[in-house]
Amino acid sequence: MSVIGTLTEKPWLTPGIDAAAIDRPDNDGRPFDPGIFLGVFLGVVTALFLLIASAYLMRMGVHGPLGHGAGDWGAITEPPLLWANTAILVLSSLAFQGAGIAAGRGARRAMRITLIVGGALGIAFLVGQVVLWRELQASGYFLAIHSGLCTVSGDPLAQPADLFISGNPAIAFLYLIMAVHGLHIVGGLVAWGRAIRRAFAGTVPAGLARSVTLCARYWHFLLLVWLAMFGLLLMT
Amino acid sequence: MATVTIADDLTPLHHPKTWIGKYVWSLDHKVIAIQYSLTAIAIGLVALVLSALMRLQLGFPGTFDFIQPEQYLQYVTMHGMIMVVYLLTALLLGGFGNYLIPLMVGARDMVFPFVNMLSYWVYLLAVLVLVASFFVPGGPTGGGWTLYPPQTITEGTPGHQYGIVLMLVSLALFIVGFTMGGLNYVTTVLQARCKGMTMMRMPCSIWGIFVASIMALLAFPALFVAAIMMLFDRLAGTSFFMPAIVSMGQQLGHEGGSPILFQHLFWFFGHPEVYIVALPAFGIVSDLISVHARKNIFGYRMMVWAIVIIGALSFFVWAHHMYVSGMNPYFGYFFATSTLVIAIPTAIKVYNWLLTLWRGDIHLRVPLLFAIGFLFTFIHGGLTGLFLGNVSVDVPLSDTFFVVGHFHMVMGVSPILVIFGAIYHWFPLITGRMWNVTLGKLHFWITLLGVYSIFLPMHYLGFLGVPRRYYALGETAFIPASAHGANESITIAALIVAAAQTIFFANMIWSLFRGPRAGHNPWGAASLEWQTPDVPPAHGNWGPRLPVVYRWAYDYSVPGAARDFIPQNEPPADGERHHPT
Ligand code: HEM
Ligand SMILES: [Cu+2]
Repeated sequence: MSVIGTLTEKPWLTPGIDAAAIDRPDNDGRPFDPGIFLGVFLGVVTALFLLIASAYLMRMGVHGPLGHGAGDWGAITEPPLLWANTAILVLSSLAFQGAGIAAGRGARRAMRITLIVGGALGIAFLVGQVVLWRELQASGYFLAIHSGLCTVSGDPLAQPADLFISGNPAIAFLYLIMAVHGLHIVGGLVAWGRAIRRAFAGTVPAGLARSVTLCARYWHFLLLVWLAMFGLLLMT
Repeated sequence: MATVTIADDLTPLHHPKTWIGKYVWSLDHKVIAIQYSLTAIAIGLVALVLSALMRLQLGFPGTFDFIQPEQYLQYVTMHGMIMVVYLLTALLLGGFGNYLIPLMVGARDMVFPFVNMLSYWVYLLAVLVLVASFFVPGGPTGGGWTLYPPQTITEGTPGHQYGIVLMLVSLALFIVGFTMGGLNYVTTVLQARCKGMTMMRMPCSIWGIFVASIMALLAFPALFVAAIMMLFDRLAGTSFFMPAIVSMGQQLGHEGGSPILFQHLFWFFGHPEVYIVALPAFGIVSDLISVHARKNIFGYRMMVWAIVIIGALSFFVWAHHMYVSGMNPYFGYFFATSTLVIAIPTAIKVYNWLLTLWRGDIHLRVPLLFAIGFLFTFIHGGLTGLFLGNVSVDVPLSDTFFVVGHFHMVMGVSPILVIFGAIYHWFPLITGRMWNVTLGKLHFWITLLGVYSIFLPMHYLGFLGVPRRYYALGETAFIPASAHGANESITIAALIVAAAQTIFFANMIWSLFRGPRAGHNPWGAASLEWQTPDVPPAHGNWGPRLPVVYRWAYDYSVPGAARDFIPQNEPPADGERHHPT
């Protein structure tokens, strides 16, 4: 049923359930497919990252003529680890794709292996991001939470400036994006954990293949988001 | 994404055994709805008390020692934020959305009950964090509900140390919690409608809640991003929003940030938020009018389209809140135009409500009284909105009490009136008891006349140039003494209105225990929620079989029908085919 078709139905003319527009199935007791839930959720996450991207561009100064950007934006040399992590995420996504295919074919062993590999690579990605984070800190870009909340006396903002992520706002965005994206990966890992539990249960539960496919879909999506964000970071 | 579906733990439905399982960690959408509503009302009462305190200060400046400028700003901020986000959004979507969606579309529950339950608990946590900010050193934030940087996080603004941090954390939590609920509302409408329930057979209430949920899912991320970035600025010393600034003679570590960027993000959320609150109210009021005027809603399809169009357009008007921010003047031109365009579908809705009442078989019961009250306040607020939407008119009125009068009319009082009407309307279904009508009418008249005497004079104060968010007027040559008289009378009205709400709560509690039994479908409504086998509906809503829907929700006073309404789940009589609209 097209959107237009739905919206132009004249409900007052058609009592009964045989009329043209009425195609609702009887859904009593049937499981609901989580696909739509995931789809809407991906819409929300897309909005989130689009907004981050537009904030990025605005702060960077592409809207200079409209009065944005302060000229303090500097290029960053991407740490090599950023490339490595991206590669890991690509591999992870491929593994999930494999798991989805295997699950569709009913190949249990292959599905279990690829599922584990995919999740493990996801964890590796997260670890890589944390290492990257520490590298950045070591090179002088502190994320100085401790000098924020926990200084009880005095105004935290009056701390010496070098304790903070100062200078290049591109780095600040890098932190922000890594944090928000990382949280979504963590969420994906929770779903992955559930899928793993079910995949190793004695009998294969109904709907497992679907869960694995949807996991894979979420993973591809997070990869896409990461690539887009990475592209932004390269733009500086 | 493997999540618990109803089917996972159905067989037929997961029936909790213990009291705690039934009322605390409940998966039932009706219980969750009530949890949401009670929490929202409780925190809303805090906001009401804050407004009374503000009014005391404005009406009788200098009388109350404990209200200093800092406290006043904190009251303004917390009042505004609580009312908009923690009361109205939570009550309309978390409360009414949860209660009505499954019942009105003929489902047994939300599609993902566990996520739904989680949504409430995260919301509760957000409320608790917000409340905690009253008790930290420095108190809650006083930056205004818009939380504009740089002032919200620099010294001199109350709560810039801890209050603001808790506020931002609380907002982020709220958004996470809402997202879990909102995903459920949308997917339940899309997936769990019963047989025969097409989208266009859904009552307007569901359309309003559905579109508002989609909007909220897309708009709240903007606030989320803004909150996180401001937390970074506040805690980690980044300069997303903070420009180079000298505060109290000291150069801060920030440099180059853009406060305007925050304003864009905030209002990209903030304006749709107005409609997130308004659309459910629009939908509900349509149903109240239709049921109590015994007529089908005039122009049902137009009403639905208007809801969808308003929802879409409202993402393109946000910068009308920023006319005085120094943004490019061409922006103002674009946003003034788009703002005025929204007036068209909105006006259509208003005409359709009036035309539904026209020659209806009107039963002036309490819910309909509130619905008609809404028409007054909403038309009123809509008209002043036309003023403020124009750049050249807005510039002198900006940040005056005219604005305060406008938005209270259009998004404060109007949705509140609808909420009252809706509570009076659905209470018999929720509890199985009727209200005391006399007390209900008393509550209505005091509230309606009261809010008019509060907010109408505010427009006049605005014309005089009385600024908003000012603790006291002081010696101001251009403000005549009469303004002080107006302020006093506004305050008295506000106190009366606040006190009158005890009538509502007393009535509610009395009816809960002593009210006459409502029985089945006391209003003679056609929509599905009133056709459950039990009143109040039992867990699982529909007994052994889901209902089947044969018609739309507005078959009132159909010529030739035995009663003046035909329930949605009543099969068509022989030969019944068309009926006049
Ligand atoms: C009896 C009911 C109410 C009274 C007496 C009242 C009174 C006030 C007053 C005196 C102010 C501050 C004006 C100033 O100094 O700038 C204010 C601000 C505000 N109110 Fe209300 N209010 C009421 C209900 C509501 C409701 C239901 C809403 C829901 C939308 C609401 C939303 C706001 C907002 C958003 C602000 C602006 C806060 C800010 O400037 O940061 N109010 N109200
Ligand atoms: Cu607006």
